[in-house]
Amino acid sequence: MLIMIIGVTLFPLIFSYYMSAHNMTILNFWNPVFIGFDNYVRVLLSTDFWASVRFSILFMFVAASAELLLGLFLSLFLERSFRGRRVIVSLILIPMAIAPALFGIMIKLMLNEFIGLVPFLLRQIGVRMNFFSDFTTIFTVLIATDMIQWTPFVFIILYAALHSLPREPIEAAYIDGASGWKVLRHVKIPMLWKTITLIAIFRIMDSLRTFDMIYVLTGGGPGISTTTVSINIFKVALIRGDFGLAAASTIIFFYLSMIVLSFGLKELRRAGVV
Amino acid sequence: MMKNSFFNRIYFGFVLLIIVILFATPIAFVIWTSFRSYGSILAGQFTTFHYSLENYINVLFNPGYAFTKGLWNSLVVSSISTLLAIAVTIPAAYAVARLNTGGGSLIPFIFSMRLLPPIIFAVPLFVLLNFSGLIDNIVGLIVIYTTFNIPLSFLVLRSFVLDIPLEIEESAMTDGCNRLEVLRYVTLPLLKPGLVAASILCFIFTWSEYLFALLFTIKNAVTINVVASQFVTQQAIRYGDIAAAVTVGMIPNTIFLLLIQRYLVRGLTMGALRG
Repeated sequence: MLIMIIGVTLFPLIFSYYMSAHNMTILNFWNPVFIGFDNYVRVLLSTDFWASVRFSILFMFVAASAELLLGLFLSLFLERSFRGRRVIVSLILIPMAIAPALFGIMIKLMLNEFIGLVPFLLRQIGVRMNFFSDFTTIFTVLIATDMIQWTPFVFIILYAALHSLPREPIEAAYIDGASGWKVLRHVKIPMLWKTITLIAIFRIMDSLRTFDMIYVLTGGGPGISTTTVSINIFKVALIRGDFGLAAASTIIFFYLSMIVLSFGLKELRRAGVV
Repeated sequence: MMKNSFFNRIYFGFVLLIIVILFATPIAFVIWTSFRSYGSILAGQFTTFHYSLENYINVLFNPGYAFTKGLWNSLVVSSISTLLAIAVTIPAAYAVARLNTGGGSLIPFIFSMRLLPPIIFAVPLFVLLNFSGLIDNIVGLIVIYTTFNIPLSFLVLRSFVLDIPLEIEESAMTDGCNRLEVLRYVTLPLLKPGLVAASILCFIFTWSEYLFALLFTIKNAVTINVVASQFVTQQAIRYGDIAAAVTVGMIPNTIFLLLIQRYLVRGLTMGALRG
């Protein structure tokens, strides 16, 4: 098993060093030419690459924090029991089950100007808009899509964690006259902190890697304005066919992700999760 | 706590309604669209209803679409890579949980494999698959998905092994079983829910995967997500067909997810939280 893991993960990583030091394109795939650090220089000087890094980081921060907040709100909102709660919880979970690529297509249909539900409703109140014209609107659409799909992730973990919290400290705080907000701020959130850290790391890493949903919805456009690093590398490799350059971008992205991940792993170790 | 006054209940119901609309509308809309006839969709009117199964018939039987091929490939690739990953990780998870093989750095390493962006592995894997002639071949996809299922299945199974009381195994040992017999006759039967949960999680992951499927396939090994995302015909965009394809594509995962709701938290956090 370890051989297989190394074969499919560690070896490619080492192999990408080899690729990144060669001029390796569709044209000279079988006999790449050694060019040293040229590919790295090209990546580091590439405005496209840094634009994609900037967009990925922006998307990561906005999506992860919005999902954490909404997920926390939902889990607190559904904390008390009522009839039909199980149905609502299951309903909220479903978007998470759908492949992000398919979910992107769904949203695309929803927003389609001819057949979509949202433009239709907006037309009823006299608003005509194209959801894929300017950056702000597209960015809002992308964040909203990511939120609908991945807030359930945050929600279900926090929901389960809230229900497994010991009741005594919470009840004691209420008896001592604390308000709902104060109990949340000073009792529940501290007890949930380890869980919140874990969820934050998962969401941060997952939104940093986003490919499927954005690729299906915008293809990285208009221009390159919604190109994440994943989409950038994908395009350099598959559409421009420049594997050496893609490998160099891969390695730089690997170290950037490792910086984020090492903070995460340190937090996890401190929380005693791994 | 909150007073159960009239206004409170109105507020509660209102927020609940918004939640339901937010999370259910995209899915409901696509399912609804998939049952509308071609003409009815193109009329752009939401007031004319004409339902038919033509989109499904089109998607499943029109030879111009590769949809059934994608569906079949997805089923084969997801099932085989799930089974392989589970088979490989049962002994591994047991060894690490009970004998502490690999020491303290193994778990963070495997955790990182799940958390790192898959694009990091994509470019070199593409070249390697190209060298070995496995591009556009489901064998290539199976090998890669099996590997990426291993961390998930391993960590989830490990957490299930840790849940089995040690005393049961110890008493089997004092009765004369060796380690392998304990694993086979004591641990494995107790691990059944864990095996089901881990398999389903692996299946969901593989079924949803898009990046590798898009990169490593051209025509023969395409998976359902790739087919569905490229569903544009020459004459006109057949929205109904797209909707039908998406609806079919989301069925297995939705059913599976609802089936293992109990173990969902454990699976989503790779066994870090029990839920």
